[in-house]
Amino acid sequence: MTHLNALLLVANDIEATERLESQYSSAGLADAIAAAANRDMVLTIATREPEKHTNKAYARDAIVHSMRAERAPLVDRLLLTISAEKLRTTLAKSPIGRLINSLSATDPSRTFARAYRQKPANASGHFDLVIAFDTAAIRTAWLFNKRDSTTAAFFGEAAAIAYLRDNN
Amino acid sequence: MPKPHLLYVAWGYPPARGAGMYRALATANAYAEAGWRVTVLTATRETFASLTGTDELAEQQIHSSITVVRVPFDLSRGETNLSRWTRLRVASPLLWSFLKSLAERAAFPEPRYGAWRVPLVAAARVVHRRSPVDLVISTANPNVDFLPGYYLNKCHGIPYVMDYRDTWHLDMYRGSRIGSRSSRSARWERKLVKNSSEVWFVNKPILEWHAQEFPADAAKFHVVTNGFDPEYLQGQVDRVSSAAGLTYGYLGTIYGPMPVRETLEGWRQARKHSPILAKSTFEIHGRLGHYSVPNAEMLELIESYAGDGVRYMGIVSKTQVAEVYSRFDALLLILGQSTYITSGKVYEYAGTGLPIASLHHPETASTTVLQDYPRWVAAADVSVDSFANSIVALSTLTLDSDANAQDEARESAARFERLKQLEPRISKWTRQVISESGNQ
Repeated sequence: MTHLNALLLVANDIEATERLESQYSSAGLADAIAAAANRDMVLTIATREPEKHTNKAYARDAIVHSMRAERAPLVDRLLLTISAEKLRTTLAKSPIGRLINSLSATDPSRTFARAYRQKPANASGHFDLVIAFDTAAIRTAWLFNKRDSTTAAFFGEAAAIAYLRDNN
Repeated sequence: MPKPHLLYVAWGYPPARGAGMYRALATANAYAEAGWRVTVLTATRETFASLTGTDELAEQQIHSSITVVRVPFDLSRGETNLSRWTRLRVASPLLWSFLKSLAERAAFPEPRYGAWRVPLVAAARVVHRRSPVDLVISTANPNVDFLPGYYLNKCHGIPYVMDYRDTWHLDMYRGSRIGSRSSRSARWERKLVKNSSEVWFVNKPILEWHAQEFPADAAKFHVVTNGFDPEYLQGQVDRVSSAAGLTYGYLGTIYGPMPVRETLEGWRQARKHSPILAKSTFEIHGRLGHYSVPNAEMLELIESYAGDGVRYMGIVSKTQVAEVYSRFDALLLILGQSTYITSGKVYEYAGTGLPIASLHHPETASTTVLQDYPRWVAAADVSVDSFANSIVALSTLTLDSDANAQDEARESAARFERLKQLEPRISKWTRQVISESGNQ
């Protein structure tokens, strides 16, 4: 049986390190997923802050992929030029403003998707499973599934583990 | 003569977990036991697996003659498989959620449950078409549960009973009204109460509040208290307490504005004053919050008292409560302040015959339940000092008890058995339905 190739997308690194450390400190996350799938696996953790994850117990046997590029994507540079973040902060004060923000290019899920597109973890080729650790990573995980329906995509590692266990 | 047919509607029916489920389980079982043919409309197993967690042991307690019809419930809000997410949801989860909420409210003004109206009412109609229903009893919340009765009444004249396990427009903690009297949900409640044959409430203060709101309908209001299920306490081993150390226990869900911090601090203080309590432990069993995953903040608070002998022991199936109560020398009854909240566990606590310390505001509905209970101490107010005093007094009461004390206390609580609360309503409806079918 071939090994399972899984990708964990992390946008909120502080929350991820706290939660993953408390839940997967004894057996690493890769071990937990492999046990649920009953297969050997390769886990890649894609993040903009790789230093927060390296040498952590939960990242044992995982490849930590840095999404930090030398140059930010063009859209992000343009948004920076026009001070879009200030507008976002102002809009966030009202419900309708938050709705506009969620549909705009400054939305964290779009920012994360652009960052991943700029520097994808494609060294291993096809991913069988993509996990969005947090809401900002959902769009990127969803796109994996839309482009290739053989890639399973889940929100949350617990949901992915439950799915693998049930389908094993 | 054919058996009368009861359609019982309860979203939270086994294998759902949650305190309210037991009232639903017991009511349907009691009618089946009394000779009714019972059909239950409830949500699917996946619903409970996803939202509340499941209690398979409770499911085994369903009376063998009951037919359970499981009506699909929309779980898309909690969908974690991203292949099932629409483009709109990914584009803006906020917009998707807003539109979803609008659609739910359009069906029925109850967040998250409103969309259940259509499949639920359709299922009730199918049940009635296949086998005519004589009576509908619905237990809420969710309040959408009341709708099958309303529609079967409107179309076929079937009587229906509204069983308020909870309240709809009464904030039980503040004692104030929720929302305006002209809101859509208030208008629905008025219409449902007006057309119902009976409305049940869990205690008198709640009934009185509703009687003021709906004076024209007050004559059909009844109190059907929760009581306790003695069968779940069978097998409880009588405790022989020793000054070498006691085990205090709390069994139930911890949620909302309960004085947990004051209890834990009171426990810590009591241990400083009492050498016996210094050697004793306090075990908390049950759910932390309403969901299957414990509330992290509450768990952290409890664990911070681990050095004081406080332990969180996890969720307990109702079928294991006798075993858990057998571990305890005494019980701490922790409740939020409310004139309207009795809490189901007060009856079960009394049913154990164990000494009880009430750690809540004296003006809480459960105070009147325990006032004749022989093994009871109550805090004078909600404060660390007062709770600590009660916890110390409880240890004295426990250790001074003679060998018959637990039996005597148990006997005094027999009047709280759940079946004794339901019996008058079952008899009334059995007589009425049989006499009506005889007249026809």
